Amino acid sequence: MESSLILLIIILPLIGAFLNGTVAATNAYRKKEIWGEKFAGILAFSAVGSSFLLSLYAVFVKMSGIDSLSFTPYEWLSVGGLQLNLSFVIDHLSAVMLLVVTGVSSVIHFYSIGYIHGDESSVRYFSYLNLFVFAMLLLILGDSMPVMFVGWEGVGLCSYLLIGFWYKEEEKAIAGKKAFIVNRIGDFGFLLGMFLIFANVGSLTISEVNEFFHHNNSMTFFWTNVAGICLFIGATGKSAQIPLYVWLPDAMAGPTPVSALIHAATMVTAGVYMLCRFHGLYLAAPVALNVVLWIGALTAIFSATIAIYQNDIKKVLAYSTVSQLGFMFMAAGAGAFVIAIFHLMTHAFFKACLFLGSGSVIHAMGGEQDIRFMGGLKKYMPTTYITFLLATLAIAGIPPFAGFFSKDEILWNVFASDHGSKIVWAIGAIAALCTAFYMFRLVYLTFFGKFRGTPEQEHHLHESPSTMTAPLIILGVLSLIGGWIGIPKLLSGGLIPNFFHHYLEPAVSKYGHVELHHYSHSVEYSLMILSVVIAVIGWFTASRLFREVKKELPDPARYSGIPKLLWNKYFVDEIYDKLIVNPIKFLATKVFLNISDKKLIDGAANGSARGWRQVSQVFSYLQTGNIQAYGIYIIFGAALAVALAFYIY
Amino acid sequence: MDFNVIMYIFFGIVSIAGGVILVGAKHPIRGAMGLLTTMLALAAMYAQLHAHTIAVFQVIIYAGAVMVLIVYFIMLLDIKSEDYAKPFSKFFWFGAPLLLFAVFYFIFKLSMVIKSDGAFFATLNPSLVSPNAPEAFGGIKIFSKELLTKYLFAFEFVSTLLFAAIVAVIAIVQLDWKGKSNE
Amino acid sequence: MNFDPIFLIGEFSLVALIVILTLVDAMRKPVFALLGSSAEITPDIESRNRQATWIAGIGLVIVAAVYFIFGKATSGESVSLLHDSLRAGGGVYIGKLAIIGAGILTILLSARYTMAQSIPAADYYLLLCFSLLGALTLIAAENFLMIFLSLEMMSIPIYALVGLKRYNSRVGESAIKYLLLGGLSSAFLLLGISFIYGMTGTLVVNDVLTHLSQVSQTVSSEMLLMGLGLVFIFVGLAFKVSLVPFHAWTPDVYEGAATPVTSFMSVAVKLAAFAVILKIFAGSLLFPAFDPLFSRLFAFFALLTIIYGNSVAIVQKNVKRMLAYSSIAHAGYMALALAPMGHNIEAVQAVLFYGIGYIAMNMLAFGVLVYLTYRDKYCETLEDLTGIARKYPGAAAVMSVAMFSLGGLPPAVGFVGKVQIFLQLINGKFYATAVIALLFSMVALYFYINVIVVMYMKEPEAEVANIDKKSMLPVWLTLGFSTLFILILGILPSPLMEWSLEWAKMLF
Repeated sequence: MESSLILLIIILPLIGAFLNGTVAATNAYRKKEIWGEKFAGILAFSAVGSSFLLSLYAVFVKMSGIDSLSFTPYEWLSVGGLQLNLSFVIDHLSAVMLLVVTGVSSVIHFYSIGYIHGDESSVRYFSYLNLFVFAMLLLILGDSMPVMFVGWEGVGLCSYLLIGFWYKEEEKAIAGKKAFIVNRIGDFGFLLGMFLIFANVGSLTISEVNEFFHHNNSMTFFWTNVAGICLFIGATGKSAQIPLYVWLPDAMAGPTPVSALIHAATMVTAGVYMLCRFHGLYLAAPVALNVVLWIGALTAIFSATIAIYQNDIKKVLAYSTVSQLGFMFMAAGAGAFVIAIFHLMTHAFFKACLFLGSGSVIHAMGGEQDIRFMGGLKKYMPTTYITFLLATLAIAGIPPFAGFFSKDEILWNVFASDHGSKIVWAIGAIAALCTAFYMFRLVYLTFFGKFRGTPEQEHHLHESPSTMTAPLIILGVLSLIGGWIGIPKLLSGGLIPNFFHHYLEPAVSKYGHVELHHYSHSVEYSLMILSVVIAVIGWFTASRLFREVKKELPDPARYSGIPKLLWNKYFVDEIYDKLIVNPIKFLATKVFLNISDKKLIDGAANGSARGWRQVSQVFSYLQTGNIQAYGIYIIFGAALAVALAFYIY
Repeated sequence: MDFNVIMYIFFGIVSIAGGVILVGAKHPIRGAMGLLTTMLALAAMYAQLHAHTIAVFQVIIYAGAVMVLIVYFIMLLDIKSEDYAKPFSKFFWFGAPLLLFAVFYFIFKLSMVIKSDGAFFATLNPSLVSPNAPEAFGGIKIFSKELLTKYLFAFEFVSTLLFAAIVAVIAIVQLDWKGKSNE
Repeated sequence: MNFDPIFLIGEFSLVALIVILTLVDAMRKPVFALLGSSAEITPDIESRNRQATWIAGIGLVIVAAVYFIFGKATSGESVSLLHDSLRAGGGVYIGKLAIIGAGILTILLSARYTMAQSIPAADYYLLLCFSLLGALTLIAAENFLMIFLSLEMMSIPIYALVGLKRYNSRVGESAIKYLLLGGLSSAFLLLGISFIYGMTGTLVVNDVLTHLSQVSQTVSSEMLLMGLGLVFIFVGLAFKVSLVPFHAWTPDVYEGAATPVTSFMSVAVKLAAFAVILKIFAGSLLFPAFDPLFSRLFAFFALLTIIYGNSVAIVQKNVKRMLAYSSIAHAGYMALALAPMGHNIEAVQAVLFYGIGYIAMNMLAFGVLVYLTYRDKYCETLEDLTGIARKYPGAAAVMSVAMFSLGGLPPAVGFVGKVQIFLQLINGKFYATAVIALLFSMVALYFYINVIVVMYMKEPEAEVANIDKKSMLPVWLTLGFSTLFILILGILPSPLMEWSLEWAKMLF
């Protein structure tokens, strides 16, 4: 029963993907529709929705009182000492992820029905979306690293397919490729880490790996940290951290619901989740943990500053996502895995809401994404405005919205934890300030003031259909109340228990946890107040600058100094181009293409290219078709074997 | 050295010489005679090893039946020596000495190794017949007994194999090389 | 002599099938004459072929069923039969089923091919059954004499099958080539066997292996002579599985032979020959005196095979030739698993797993070629495959599955097979070898993926020709079965692992 429940949760989206995929393929071939977007959307939504309902049942009914449900449907490989099982586990950690992913996915599938309306390949879209959910579930529920890795690759593949969904526009196809390639670099790190762990632990089951590092870590300190860093490199690829974050802003080329689902709420958080799954390993690898902390902090501040000067509504949100992910890694790096997951969850709510809201705005604006040409939308689209505002308040960290609790706890943990550092705390605080600033800048430029677009656009402004606003309302409400399940003990005076903490504690503190330094309550209180003050300062500044935009916003091309640096994203893409992409391209075109590809491979294909001739000659000399020659080869081979025998004896 | 051993080596050389003639002869009949020489020399070697039955079989079947068949074919097809006189490839003069050298080196090395291993060399039997060979070794009686008991299955299997070979030959022959089978 | 016929009932039924096939075709004329219907005396070749196909196909299915039922029944302890001629019982029925399965798939493909090319099917199937019989006794052979005879039994009908095709300059040539070189390799095998017999005084494989395992590790002439014998046996068998440099016949013969025959050669013959290699070289007994030598031999020749096969395959424009080189390379992978010579059952199992999986992959790839071939329209070159995806989406799709599997990409069974092989190398600490082999399996991806690219992304220069849909059902059966086999066992490989393990226990 339990087992089939887990299997059903995972397999339902796959079935949806398969059905829609087959239909999409036949539709394309036969030029005749078996079913259209309506049915495809409902099918996809109901697959994920029922998966969500089943998850709810599994987590709240089946798991009440027990630590985990596990299920091994199949012994996949058993070679030598290696036992690879296709096994799944729902413990408290994966339960949270499971609910967040299936829940947010259901909402976004519902939203997509309205959003993708009218697109010629909407069936394909739903097929990809369902496939993504399936891969994500594999990643979350897989109990062994290979299963996790299959899911890890699967979500990468789906992300690639969905970013390049409108592949006919070259820019979007390129963005998809960029995401795929950058992710591949990270995956290489993940694989390396996996091999390192297998070579030393002899098992790839996650619980056994954690157990190993917790109890009898026979791996040297150095290699333990290397393994941790390798896995983290995988996480930087998937979760868009320095230095591999560059793909995420470009990934905004995909449909907006995809940005909301994959590039904000679920897939990009996979790295954080993976770190938390391996907390046994990371607690044994303090250096790796420190790397995580610092990379997280740097990414948070780095992308938060970039976001300040972006004008594309989705780009702002993308950099904001990168920055928030940095916060999550800060939490994980400080050893506060519970808080990392907490922020992951609240972030999923408010960021999905923001993205869907931006989708609604873009929809109304007829595809315009530049906030310089928006403004005053609040009176045209009240629902979108209100939900967007709720989510903004949440991300800025204004109490009592969801983001406040999680972000405040992150900063507190970074401040107080053994693994934390005061400098990182300061960086985080500044990043939080930037967050509040750029988010309210976004809100003010989009929804306040006068409309700055063309009159034609103004004429068309309208509130989105209810299939799109309903998800917004759900997520907006969640952005408000989502944090209340994790109210710190201090704040409620212990009256309201910290449900989230209690729930997650057994799963992520099983292999030890990091002690906090002892500070008096007043310190904690003052930090909390400080973070509220920071958020309010950001809000206030933004409101002073952008509430009423008097003169036209400056053209980014005329920026100079720091704005120019930030508008151009610190020139990171250009630096990567110069340092990495161009040399590789040079190697590829000048060396490999000209010499090996053009001469060897093309030459072979044409059969006449001069460069290939000599090499081909050798082969054709060997394959003469002359039977005596063949006989000679055999004798030659035998002589070689005999010579070897003589050599040895 | 025992006379038998000398004769054994002599016939060995003869059989190799027959092989060389077979490969090098300009006229097919001459080549066939080379083959015959090899077969007869082999029969002689079997006889030296006291494997009389095998020696007789060798003479009757190979030197007799098979050779007759081969000579028959050569005469029937009337292969002229011109068809046969294609010169060796230019690699021959390069390859043949090399191969010869390799073979001699192989034999030399083998004999050196065996000679150097005194214990093993001592066990080698100069009389060409193993002292612990069964009574009446090589005779038709013991041969038949072994063939019809121990190797019965293999014996029967060979007959199936021959049947398969016959089918194979017929299948090939009845093709008229244009498409349809002759019927 | 205790002989329980139940152990060989499968072979007996195959022999019965052979007799039926012979008689039905031979008796046709007299029977019709007796019935007095002169019109039916010389029926057209098509109806003859159809009849032979039905008999052979149904007959082989029955044989497979017999093997399955009685194989299961006798799967306990294996026994040695007929004065150590054959070993039956135990897990060997898995191998026999795999080979019979390959035979059935070949017949399903041949149904269309013989029809399309007007090949006399009765002879064709008869020869195929003979060859199957040889393969079956080969994997069960318990002494060297039977190994040699079975090898010949397996090969001789194939020499003829290669030549049994509509006249074409390549056909006769490739048949003769195969025959002569096959003779050369048999000579090597016999030389090796006689060395071994001379040194040990026995032909029974197990006794020989016991002897070998007792040879002391200090260098002696006994060791040298036995080592030479083993080397010659290795050479003889390496020819059959076409390791470089004993491979040279493969591309010519594969290209020249009828496509179903090519597929049969590349899977059944190879698998059976590998079973023998495993039995002799990889059994449970350690050969401290010989393992270092054979570890090097296998590593060297396998690597050479992988490098040569994969790099030459890249430049092939003929798909059959490309698949021939690919099959050479795959033999290299299988042999590579033996490089550590650890004598562990996992290595044996990995090779058998790969071999059985390879049956499905190659049958699928060649099956698509058969699908697209009719009368004078051969489908053999890449040009023939260009842009077929529009017109024949099904064929293109299954071809892609085959290419994925051959290339060793997940989720196909070829991936799992490769993983196991490489795990053997890693366990045996053959890191450099593993890296080189891995590198060249990436090279291989180029030409496998190229087929997919050509099918899907290139526009055909001329209109894609129409093909006659005659006898398409059996081809689809083959394609469907192989595709399912590849995908299901690629995702959930453990049944196949258990089967190959069971067979491995018998060889071990």
